[in-house]
Amino acid sequence: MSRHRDEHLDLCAARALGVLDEAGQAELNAHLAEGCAQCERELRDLAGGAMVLAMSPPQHQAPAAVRARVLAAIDSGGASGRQQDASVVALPRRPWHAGPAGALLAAAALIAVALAGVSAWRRTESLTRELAATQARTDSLARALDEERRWAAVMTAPGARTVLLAPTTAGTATLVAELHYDRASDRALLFAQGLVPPDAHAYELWAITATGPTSLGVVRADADGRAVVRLERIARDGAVAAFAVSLEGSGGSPDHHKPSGPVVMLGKISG
Amino acid sequence: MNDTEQDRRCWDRVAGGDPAALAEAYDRYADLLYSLARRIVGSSSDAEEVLQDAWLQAWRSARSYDPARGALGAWLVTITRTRALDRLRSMGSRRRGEAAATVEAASDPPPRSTDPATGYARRALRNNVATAITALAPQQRQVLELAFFEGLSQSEIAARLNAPLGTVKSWTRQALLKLRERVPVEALP
Repeated sequence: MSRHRDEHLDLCAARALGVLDEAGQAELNAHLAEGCAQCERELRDLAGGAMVLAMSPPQHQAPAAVRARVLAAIDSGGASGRQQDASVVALPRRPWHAGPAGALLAAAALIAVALAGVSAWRRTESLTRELAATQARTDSLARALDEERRWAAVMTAPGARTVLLAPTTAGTATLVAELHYDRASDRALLFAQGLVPPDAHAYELWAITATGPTSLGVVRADADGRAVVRLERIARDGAVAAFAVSLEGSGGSPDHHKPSGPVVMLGKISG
Repeated sequence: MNDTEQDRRCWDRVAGGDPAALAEAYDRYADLLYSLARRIVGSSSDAEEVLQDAWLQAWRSARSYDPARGALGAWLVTITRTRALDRLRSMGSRRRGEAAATVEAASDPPPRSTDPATGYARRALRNNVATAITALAPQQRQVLELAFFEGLSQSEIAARLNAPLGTVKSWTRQALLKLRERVPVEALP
């Protein structure tokens, strides 16, 4: 077995970056083929670094025309280059009623038409019920859509403010949150990430007014620490000047108007 | 279902010949790949050609993608970068200069944002990426950019920067590991 050397890590880096020459490829492949957990791990980490680099250029929207051209090329099969499975064989076309089997098929078709006529009224009744159910679902979806539009408007309303909540000295750098607040509707949307509290703890969001803080509730994030929260009646205790996040026990602060733990994030409303 | 699992299922369908699944993957990765292609080839028209060729190649070779060997996004990036560098080389040095100027002057709209949460996640990720790149030492950043976006070999980079080859290799590895450390892996496509 080729013993692991530091030079192998340099080869891993060159491969992750896509600049490893043929001799290097051969050497690294031979080394990996014999099993080197360190190099395997290194390759995974370095690939992550290369992905960050790939994302670093200014971002542009891909032209819709390219999408259309790609899908059209695939649809036409001209660009597929894929071989059909050997078991799929195209049969030559001929009239369905030709030959002796045609008469039997024709009889079967007539019977089918007759049966269809007998059961038509049942289908009509069933369709009427389905139509009513569909109408109810449509009404429900329309209501849900209206509600979604009202929430989306929080971000686009003329008076809406975006508040970036930055970690305080008591917080960690991984905490990131952005809050969109529309005073007119008194609604807000919070987007946060990195909200992974220590065991038996939780993050609590606060609105800060002239009279002090008011709890807006405990923020429950997903397993990856991400959260999207809809908030209403933000300014029930007066005009809000800032938002804050504190680290509390799992149930949140016992006092609705005072954090019991450290404030880990803070963002003031500008304008 | 996380993004990786979603990608795997989606690409299984692509490998099975489902064009709708390819459209789904396209919508997820096209902005990233197009932006990468533009950075390499310079002009938007060349980048469009690269993007189209890359997706058709991905479709043709869909069955060769192995999730065990890396993320779908990384595989698509490799295809696109290779295509873009091929095109860059075929363009010749004169047009490369013109292309670089075009990139600086271009100002088409930023990527679409499908919903507020996705838009926010993308902005946060872009900020993380920009911060990680800025935090690199200038030589480390230059080594990565010459290799990744211009396709220079490490020997060529050493000659260009008048630095020992061993130093270039060392900068490369350190820089990639720093980028990886500073951007959470779960945030990457």
